[in-house]
Amino acid sequence: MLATLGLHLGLCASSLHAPEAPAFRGPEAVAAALEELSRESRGALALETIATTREGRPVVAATLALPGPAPAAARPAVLVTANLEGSQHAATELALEVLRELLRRRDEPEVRAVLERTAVCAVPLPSPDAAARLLRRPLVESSSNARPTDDDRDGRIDEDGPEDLDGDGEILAMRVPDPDGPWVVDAADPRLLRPAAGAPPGAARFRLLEEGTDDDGDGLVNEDPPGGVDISRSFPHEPEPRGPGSGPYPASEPEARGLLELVLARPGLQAAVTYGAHDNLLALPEARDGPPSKRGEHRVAKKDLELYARAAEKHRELTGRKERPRGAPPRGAWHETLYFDFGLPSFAVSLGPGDPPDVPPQTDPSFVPWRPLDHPTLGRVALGGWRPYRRGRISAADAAAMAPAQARLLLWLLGSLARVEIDGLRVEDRGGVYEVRARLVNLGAFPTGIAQGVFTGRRSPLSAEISGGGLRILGEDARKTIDALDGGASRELRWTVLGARGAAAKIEARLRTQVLSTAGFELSTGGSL
Amino acid sequence: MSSPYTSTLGFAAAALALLESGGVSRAPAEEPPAASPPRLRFDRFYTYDEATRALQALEKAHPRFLSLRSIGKSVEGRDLWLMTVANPATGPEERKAAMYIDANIHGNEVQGTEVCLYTIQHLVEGYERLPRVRELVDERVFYILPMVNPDGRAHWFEGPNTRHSSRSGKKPVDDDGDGLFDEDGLDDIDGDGEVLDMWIRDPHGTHKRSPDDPRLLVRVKPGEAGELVYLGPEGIDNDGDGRINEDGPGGYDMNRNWPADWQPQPHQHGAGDYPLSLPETRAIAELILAHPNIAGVQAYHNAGGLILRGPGDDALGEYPDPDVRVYDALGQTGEFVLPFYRYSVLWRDLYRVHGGFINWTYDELGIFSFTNELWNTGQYGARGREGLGGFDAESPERLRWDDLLELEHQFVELKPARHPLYGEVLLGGFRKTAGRTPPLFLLEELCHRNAMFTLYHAYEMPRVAFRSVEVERLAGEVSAVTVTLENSRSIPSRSAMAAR
Repeated sequence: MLATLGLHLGLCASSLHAPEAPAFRGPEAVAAALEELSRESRGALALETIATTREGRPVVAATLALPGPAPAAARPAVLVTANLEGSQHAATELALEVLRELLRRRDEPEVRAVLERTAVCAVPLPSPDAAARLLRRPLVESSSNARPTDDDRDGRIDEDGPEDLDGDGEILAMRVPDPDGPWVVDAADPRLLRPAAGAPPGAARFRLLEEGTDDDGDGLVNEDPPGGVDISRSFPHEPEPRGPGSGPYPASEPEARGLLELVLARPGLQAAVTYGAHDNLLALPEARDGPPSKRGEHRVAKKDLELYARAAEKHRELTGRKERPRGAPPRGAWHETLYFDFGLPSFAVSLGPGDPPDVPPQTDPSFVPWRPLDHPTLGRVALGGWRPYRRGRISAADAAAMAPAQARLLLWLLGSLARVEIDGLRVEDRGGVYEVRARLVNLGAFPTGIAQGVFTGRRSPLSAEISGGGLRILGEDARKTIDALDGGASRELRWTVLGARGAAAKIEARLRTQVLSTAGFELSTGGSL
Repeated sequence: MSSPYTSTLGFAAAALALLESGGVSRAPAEEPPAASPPRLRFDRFYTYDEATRALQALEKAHPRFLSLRSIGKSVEGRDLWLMTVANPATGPEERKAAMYIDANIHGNEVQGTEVCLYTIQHLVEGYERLPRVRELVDERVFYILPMVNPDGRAHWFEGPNTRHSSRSGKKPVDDDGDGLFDEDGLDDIDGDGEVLDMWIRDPHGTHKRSPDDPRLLVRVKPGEAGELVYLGPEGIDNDGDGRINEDGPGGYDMNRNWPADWQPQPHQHGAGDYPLSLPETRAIAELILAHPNIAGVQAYHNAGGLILRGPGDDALGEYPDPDVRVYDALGQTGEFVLPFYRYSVLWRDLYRVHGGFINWTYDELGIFSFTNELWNTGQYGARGREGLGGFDAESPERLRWDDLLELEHQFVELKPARHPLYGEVLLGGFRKTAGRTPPLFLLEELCHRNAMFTLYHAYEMPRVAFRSVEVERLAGEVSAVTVTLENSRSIPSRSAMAAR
């Protein structure tokens, strides 16, 4: 086919770039890197497959915890997820390097103290089928997994994808001359297009299309490419029904479902960090008063925003980053679902330059100068523009360089999580009945449940229950509940019980199903803690 | 097995004893002769296992039109049975408009399953006899899923339940947030096989015996002395937390788990962890998405006597005008076929729903969809729309119907029982088979009328054919071809919602 195109390739030698993709690991290499980290971790990094994709790849969760009094699954934990998009490969690199950095620093006393008490649950590559597109040729930028979809709803599946018309191994953009087109060439930098509105009359207008042809003869180019669902748009908070990449319904894909079920299975998770294209630390989310509205809600509760502000300050202090963040997250975003539906403080960390500059440097090899091409049906067009996976991206080396600061942020977060202990337990003999007083203390800086967690019931209630052989609780319930205990706060609870002197009893503090602390005592006057 | 759900005439539970042929029961292994295929009775309810055997027997007896398969498993591992009714000789399924029919998404709302069984039987038995049925079987496809919530159904029949309990599926949920799952449900404390209303004597009570019928309890007027206080449905404090029946089996609502305006707790109680988080709802969603030929949806619930459509919330706005006109035409015909039922809008006439099943099939997929709330006391008296009763009211009239039409079958008079916490309590009231489900002598009528409404809906699904093809020679080799497509039924080939 190429022979019939009569190609007019760009003429200057510099535009004949090598069709090399950015140097990132593919999913198999990421899996191998995790295996290797786990092997070398002396038991500190445990791997678990949480889903298998349509193309048969495992989605792996890695739990990092140093040996300590409680098993990893029962500890306070932070979830680290990276590259939901499948096209943000630097985010996967960052997650791997953060794990490596934590393991490297495991013997430092302050790191050890935190990692003996808490755990990190990391999913560095939740969308491996989308990520695998980096290894295919021609190279085409996409966040879609392999689910066959009828994007244009014409009854045919994946029938009109891009074609590499000039055989350079990459799918670029096409400027198609069109008197009704919405774009004109920018006067200052002819590599760029500007909206046609306000352009001088007679200025040449263009449509901008992805490199390819109209395979199914419907008049549209590349409107139903192979795949798929973009996992980063497929979560239950405010999904966009029938939106691009959003899938037939939220969590329709095993990758997304695996993540949701992972969070449900880990009641110890108290916060989340997501590495990828979006950010809520460089610019904080809006605050709201009162409960969230049912639809269109993206504001966090005012009380929760204080936590976000503290995390943002720490982030700034550790990274020095101040750049302008990118635009709003897509609908159905993972980090928003974690906050709005699961009630977790959920921080999003973007990688690389902020809002991508509209004007790439003239020498930037990520941008291919426009050159003429005779298209089989559209006539003479120009081919060029951003190379796949380049716009607004950083390199693997730059991602790795972010890891030390991000590991410090994670350690700060782990050290700040709520830690409830039963303190100051007192038993008084009141003439045949005993008064038992126990103080619940949150030794952490974060509350046991943020406002959104209490609202949804996912992080509430905190409870303490007294039990013991032959104990009779007088006048009230054995189990007392508190919506949430703020960081550094304490609350005294009191029971009046009837029982034999010397009888063994205990008080257990729980956050829903998770046991936080247990204190045993005897029915006799005095404090046992 | 003898149970209150079966006909007072009694019946044997052996597999094919469910099926009658000329009044003679057959042994399970016996091949039914082709001349007299087995018939299902509709003066009884079918447990999950019985309904499974009935479906298998139907398929065996009518292999020409029926194919039965399991589309997945429930939380507890029961099959989700799907019966396809179609005539393969007249063309492949995917080229025919299909009607999807299901029931019993709420485990306690049982009689929709019988409506499904009735519909299947009516379609295969009527094929030779009734031209309209033959047309439906030849030209349409019916996907019929009689038990969406098999676990809820099985527990409702087998376990201690009221007419309202076992609504949920049986994935364990910690309803009371105490770290324990499903540890404090209803209990049959006196072992009589029923979970009834539980009362305690109290001279300052909130209720007294009704002057109209002393078996009935009515609320006292302010200042008036009472006799009894209501304690809730029969049960004890199983987990010693001071509360009774606060964490029974399951604890969610499968009909709030669909990806249409889904809202998490606490916006929508019982929503589930995320849309289609349950194996039952997910399997059905995948089935429907894999069958774009589905052009009509009917879900059977109980109770109230309603033919419901969405929207589930007024905040979503009314449906597009052209679709409302189609809905109205179908719904008004439904009121004619079901004179004790009212055609209604969910949010306006029942309650607001986020993540409801028919909201998904219409709001998201654009398929005209109804939920019928089967049974109200109007069917006792059939006195016209203005006389429509409730379904749960314990009125003297309701008791009188029970006395005279069911020979007091459904009502248990207050009787003393020993409660571990309260001491002597009184247990009584209507059994679980009263209120939401019809008396058995009216079940077949309920099945027939609802099935006929749904067959009418299926008939009105679009039927598109070429009416004419005209070729006009213009010049030389050039011709103009005019093709006229005709939809001969009242439902458009694409709803206005689907077009959006």
